[in-house]
Amino acid sequence: MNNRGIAIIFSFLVTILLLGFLGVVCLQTLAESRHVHRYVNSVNAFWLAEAGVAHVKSNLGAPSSLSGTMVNPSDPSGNTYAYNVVSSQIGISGYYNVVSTGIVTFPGSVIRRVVNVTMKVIPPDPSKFQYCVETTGDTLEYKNKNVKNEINPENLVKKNSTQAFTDLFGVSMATMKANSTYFTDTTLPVSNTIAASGITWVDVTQGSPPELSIQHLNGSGIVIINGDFRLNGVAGGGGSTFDGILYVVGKLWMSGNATVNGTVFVESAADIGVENELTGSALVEYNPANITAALGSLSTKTIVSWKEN
Amino acid sequence: MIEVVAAFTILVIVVTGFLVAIVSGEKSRILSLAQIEVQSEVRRAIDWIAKDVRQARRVDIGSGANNPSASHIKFQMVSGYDTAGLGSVLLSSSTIEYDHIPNDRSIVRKETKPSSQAGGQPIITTWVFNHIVEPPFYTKIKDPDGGHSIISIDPPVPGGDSPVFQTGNLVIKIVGQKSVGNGLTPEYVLMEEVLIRN
Repeated sequence: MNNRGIAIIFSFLVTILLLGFLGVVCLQTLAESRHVHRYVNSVNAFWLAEAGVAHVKSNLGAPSSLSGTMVNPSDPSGNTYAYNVVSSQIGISGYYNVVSTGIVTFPGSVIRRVVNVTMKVIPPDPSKFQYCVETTGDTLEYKNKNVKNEINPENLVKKNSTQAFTDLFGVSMATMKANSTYFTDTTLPVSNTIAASGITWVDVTQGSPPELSIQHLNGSGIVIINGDFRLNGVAGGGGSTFDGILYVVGKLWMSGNATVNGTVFVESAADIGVENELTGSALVEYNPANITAALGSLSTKTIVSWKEN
Repeated sequence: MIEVVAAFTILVIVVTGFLVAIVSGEKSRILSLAQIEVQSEVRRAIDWIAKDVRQARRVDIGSGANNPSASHIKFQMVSGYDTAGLGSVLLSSSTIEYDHIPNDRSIVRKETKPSSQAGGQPIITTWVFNHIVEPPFYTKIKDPDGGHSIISIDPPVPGGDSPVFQTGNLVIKIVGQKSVGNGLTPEYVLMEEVLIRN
C-alpha cells in the first residue's frame, strides 16, 4: 500500500518536471517567434523605404515630398505598411536630398527603416528648341512682326522639322498625357480660356475636322493641343500671354494679341497672323529661360548617392 | 507480496520511460538550441554584410587594390554627395573589411577608423560571426545564352579587379554549422543578392 503511494508521488513529480521542461521550450519558441516577426517587419520596412524612393524617382519633375500606404489583403495580422518621403533641394543646385522612411506598425510596436539618397535632376535638353516657331509641315505663313528672336535673330522659323515628340521632351505622348492636367475642348474650366500650369493637355473633339478656338491662353509651362488650334488673342479678359512651350498636333492659327514667350512647335502646317492680318499682333518671342523652366516639369532623376541611416 | 512486485515492476517501467523521454528531450533541446544559435548567427551575419554592402561602391568592392576574394571584401561606405563642380560621392572615413576565417569557422567584420589625433593609432573595432564554414562572397553574371550564373568574386587574374566591378551585385551565401555530438550537425544556409547602390 505504501509503495503505491510512493509510485503516485514519484509520477506526480516527474509530470511536474516534464511540464516545466515543456514550459521552457514554449517560452523559447515564443521568443524566437517574436524575433522572427520583428526581423520580417524590419525587412518589410526597408523595402517600404525603397518603394518611397522609387515612387519619387518615377514621378516626372523635381523630387517632391510624398507618402503612401500599402495593403496586403492576404495578411491577417492587422499590420499597417506605409512610407513617408521628404525631399529638399540642396542649395540652388540640381540635386535633392530625399529621405524615405518605411514604417511597419503592428500591435504594440512600430519598426522604421530610413533610406537617405541624393538625386540629381536631369531636365530634357532645352537646346532642342531653337526657333520661335518650328513645324514638321512645309507650310508656314507669318509676318516679321509676328516672330522675334533676340538670342539668334536668324532662327525665327523652321519648316520641315524632323524632330519627334519623344526626342524633344524625353517622354512619349502617352507619358506626357498621363502626367498632365487633362481637358477636352468641352471640359475647359473657363470658356474661351486655357489657364496653363505645369503640363496642360487638351484633346480636341468637336468639329470636322476637330478644331479648338479660344480667346485666351495664359499661364506657363507646356501646353499640348491635340487637334487644330485657333488662338484668337483678345486683349480684354486678362489678355493672352503664355510663357513656355506650345505644342500643337494639328494646324495652328494665332491672331489678335496672342503672345507666346518661349517657343511654338506644330506637327503639320502653321499659319500665324494671316487670319487677322490687318489688326493682328500675334507674337511668338523665343525665350530660352521660359523653355528651360517649362521642361523642368519633365525632369528625370538619377540617384547619385545612397545610404541607410 | 505479488502486488508489491507488480507495482514495483510497473514503477520501474514508467520511470525508465520517463528517463528515456527526458534524455531524448534533452538531446532534442541541445539540438534545437544549436539550430537556433546557428540560424541566429547566419541571419546576423547576412544582415550586417548586406546592410554595409548596399552602402558601398562597386568600384571599391571590386577593385584589385582592395584584394577582393570569396573570403574577403574591403570598402568605405558612402556618407553623402558633394554637389560642388561636377559632383562627387563623399565616403566615410572608416574602412570596413569582412574576412572569412576557415580555422575559426567565423566571419570577422573589422572597422578601422583613423585616429582623431595626428599620428595617433587608428581605432579598430571587430565583430565576430561564429559557425560560418564556407567563404561567403559571390556575384551573379549574365551568361551568353541569356541565363545567369553565380560565381566567386575572385579576380580572374590574380591581383586584378573582381567581376563585381562590372556586375555591381554581391551574392552573399552564408553556410552555418555547429556540431552537437552524436553525429548531429545542424546546418542553416541563407543566400541573398545585394545590389550595390553606389
